[in-house]
Amino acid sequence: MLQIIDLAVSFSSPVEGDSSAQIFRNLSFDFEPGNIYAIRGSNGSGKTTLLNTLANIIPEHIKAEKYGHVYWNGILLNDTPLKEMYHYVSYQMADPDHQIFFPTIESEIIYAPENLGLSHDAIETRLEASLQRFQLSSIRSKDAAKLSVGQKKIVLFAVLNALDSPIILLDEPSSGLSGTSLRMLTEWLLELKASGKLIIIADHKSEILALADHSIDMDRLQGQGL
Amino acid sequence: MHPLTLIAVVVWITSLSLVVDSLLTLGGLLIISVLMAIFLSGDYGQRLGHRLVKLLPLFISVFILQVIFRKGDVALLDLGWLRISRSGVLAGLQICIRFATIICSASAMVKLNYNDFRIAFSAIRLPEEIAFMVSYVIHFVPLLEERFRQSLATVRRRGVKIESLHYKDKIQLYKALTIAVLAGILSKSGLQAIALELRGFRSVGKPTKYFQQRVGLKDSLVYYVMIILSLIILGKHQSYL
Amino acid sequence: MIVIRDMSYSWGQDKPLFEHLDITISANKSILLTGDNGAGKSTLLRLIIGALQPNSGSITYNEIDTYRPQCPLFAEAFYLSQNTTENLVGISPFEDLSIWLMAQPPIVERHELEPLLDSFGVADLAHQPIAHLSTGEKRLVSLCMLPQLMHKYWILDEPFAGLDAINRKRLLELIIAKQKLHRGLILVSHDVDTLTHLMDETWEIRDRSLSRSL
Repeated sequence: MLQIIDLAVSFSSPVEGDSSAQIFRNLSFDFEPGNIYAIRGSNGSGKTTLLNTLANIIPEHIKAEKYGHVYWNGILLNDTPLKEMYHYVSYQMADPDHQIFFPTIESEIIYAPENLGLSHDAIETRLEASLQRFQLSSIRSKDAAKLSVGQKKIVLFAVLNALDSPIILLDEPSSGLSGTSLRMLTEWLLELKASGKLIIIADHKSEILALADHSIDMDRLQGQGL
Repeated sequence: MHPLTLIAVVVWITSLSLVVDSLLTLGGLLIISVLMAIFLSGDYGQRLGHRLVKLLPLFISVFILQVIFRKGDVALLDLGWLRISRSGVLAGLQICIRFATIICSASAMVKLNYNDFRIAFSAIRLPEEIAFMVSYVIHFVPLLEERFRQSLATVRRRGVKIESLHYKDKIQLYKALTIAVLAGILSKSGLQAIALELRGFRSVGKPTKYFQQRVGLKDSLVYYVMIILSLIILGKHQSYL
Repeated sequence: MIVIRDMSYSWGQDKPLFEHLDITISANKSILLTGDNGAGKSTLLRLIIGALQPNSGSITYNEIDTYRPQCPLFAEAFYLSQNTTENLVGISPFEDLSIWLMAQPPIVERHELEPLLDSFGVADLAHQPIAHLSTGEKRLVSLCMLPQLMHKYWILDEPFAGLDAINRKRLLELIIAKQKLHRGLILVSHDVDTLTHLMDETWEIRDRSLSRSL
């Protein structure tokens, strides 16, 4: 179970004279594995900030005031360095261009399993399963950076799938996806749920929101507790 | 070819071109680096000609400075107020060729991506951070160029005729674009580092390598050629010609 | 009027995205462009605006190839990329809008800039660094100029991506207002259900060509 207790985040505004902007405070919530949670809210309401906080990007890399505790099965995640968070969390960020580095789709997919120190055979199993799952086998040696935005998203889903972490964070996964790809995404989400993963999604699309077991409305959270 | 080999060749050419004085050898090194740039860096290499032509004024002024101020024994031209010596002309040529060699061989590395540096550096047991930093530095200028071109295109698409702008407005526009492009690249690289860490970059534990890239026959051949050429070049009596 | 004649295009050595495409885009029609991910929707828009050059055939505006710098397309048209970073060129939203002041013929005056940011509810971000904005906020900033550009032909790549309900409605209202003025636009979106009824035509890219439905 992912447990957040009295979580609060505020940014000190870069504009002089502006008081610091509180995104949310006193946020306590229990996220159960095997469930899909939707984070809804208007543009700028702090959906990405909440995901960044859960992934520990805030405050390790993005400067902000963060209070409260985040536990995963009793382990305090607050103190886990970002570079070790991938044991617990995988995260698809809103702009796919920030997450594509490698010259081929397959090297993109195997990077995290390599860092986990998996055996050659284990990596191969994950690679092939992810390629097949997202119908990428025929373009496996292509450069993901040259694909369209929608296709890059699909590659990132394959990357997350191969990392196989217990918590999966998705920021706007559906934006830019067409009918076929959108179906691929919803099927994958249901599979993850069935296999006991904890999935937290920030999205606007009704097809995705409809899958959620629970939702958190950031607009109602602004400046107050849950 | 193993990416480490390419990096080794570039380092070899640049360091040799700094040590060697012989114009013939320098010319040879320049030819190798030009060929490498053309064949290895794709369209970036194709634009190398343009790049060098743009730098021509710089080359010429460095050459002229050397020619005028370098004192030497053998005078090629002596007008009393102006004395051009043989060693001045040679030193001028030397510096220009060295400069061009470094530019060309560096641009041969532009097509190397983060993964190449990762493979190359792990072969000599350098940490992954260094691979990220080197690849970042190498790609910084081409990225800057691309993003700036993109910004100019966006401005044109807003109906701004940049060519016919008032001089003051033009400076203002370029200043604004440059700052915005720089800020964008810096923030992007911050996010990229985060994204890599989220996939275990720098994490504790020994990573496995799925695609083993071994040093092959071609690589060994290149290393042998480099060693033999170094011996010949450095063993030879050093002179200008 | 943009005329595409016998146009073929492929990325490098890949199999062609379009083959022998023939189509005329009239200045007063509204068109929804759809297709699977990777079918070439964004590429077609980039070909139309001249950011890419066809391998064969031609794309012309006023009989001038759109990829040529002298093509006057952008005196009459406005393009928004799917990539929000590419659309914004200033350090802050306000500074980005200020660049519009240099457009010829003039489109907007300085005192109109701040209120424009209100059209998509981002006035309070006016002086924040763009690099700190979320993708959704960047998209909103790039849409803010639209109310001033009703006279131009719009070429919009996924303008609805990442927008919340209020801002979707704002953009839809602008599109409806534009249609009443009989000014055209072409846009890429996956929201087929809402938009098909609204737009004059829907074009689908499939198997390297376009199928049109009214």
